[in-house]
Amino acid sequence: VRASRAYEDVQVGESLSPFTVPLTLQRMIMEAGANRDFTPTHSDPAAARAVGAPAVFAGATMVETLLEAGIRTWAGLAPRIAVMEYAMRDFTCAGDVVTVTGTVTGKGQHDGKPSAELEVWIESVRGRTMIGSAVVVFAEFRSGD
Amino acid sequence: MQTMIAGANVPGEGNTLIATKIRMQHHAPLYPGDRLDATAVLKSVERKATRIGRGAFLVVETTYVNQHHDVVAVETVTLLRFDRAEAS
Repeated sequence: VRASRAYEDVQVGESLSPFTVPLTLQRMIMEAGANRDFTPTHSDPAAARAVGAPAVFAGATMVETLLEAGIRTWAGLAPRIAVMEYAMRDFTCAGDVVTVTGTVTGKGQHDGKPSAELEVWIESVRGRTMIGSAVVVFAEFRSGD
Repeated sequence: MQTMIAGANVPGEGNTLIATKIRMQHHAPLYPGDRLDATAVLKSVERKATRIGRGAFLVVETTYVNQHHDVVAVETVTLLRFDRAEAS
């Protein structure tokens, strides 16, 4: 595990280190099984095509997992993701090689703790299929927090 | 998951749900052994024709509370509910 990023080193305008992963159908099905989301469009190609998608597409938990992987590739494991928001621009599909990246748009305070605001997105040959933002808090956990 | 169940339970047409926009706010960590309650509220309904069919956008806000009655997370989801038979 790489060292977590220090808040003092966070620069507004810097790019997030990209996280790239091939979204194989196997990976999608494993994720659906792990979070027990058996909505057919996230594991069955025929069901996905029936709703107009080109292939099995990522559901909300898969998207959040990808965004978190992207954020943590840059931030490390210690910072806490307080807010994550995203909107679907296109389907994020099995067979796509996706890259999660973004930029730091601001530094400030969230609930009285040092925080960074990020713009994040998932991109592939389909373009930016998910665009969103996040607030990451750089503070140690306390017992009972 | 609670949000999707709530979206499916709203009376009206549409047999397919897709989450198109999500905002997750985490207020407190979850720990092993915690017990959670989820309450979903339908905030708005807007009928709309999209490229995958006619349907409606539902905004559902789900609040997650632990056994100490602390709000641990609030999830706001825009769901597109549409009739799969109308997809082209």
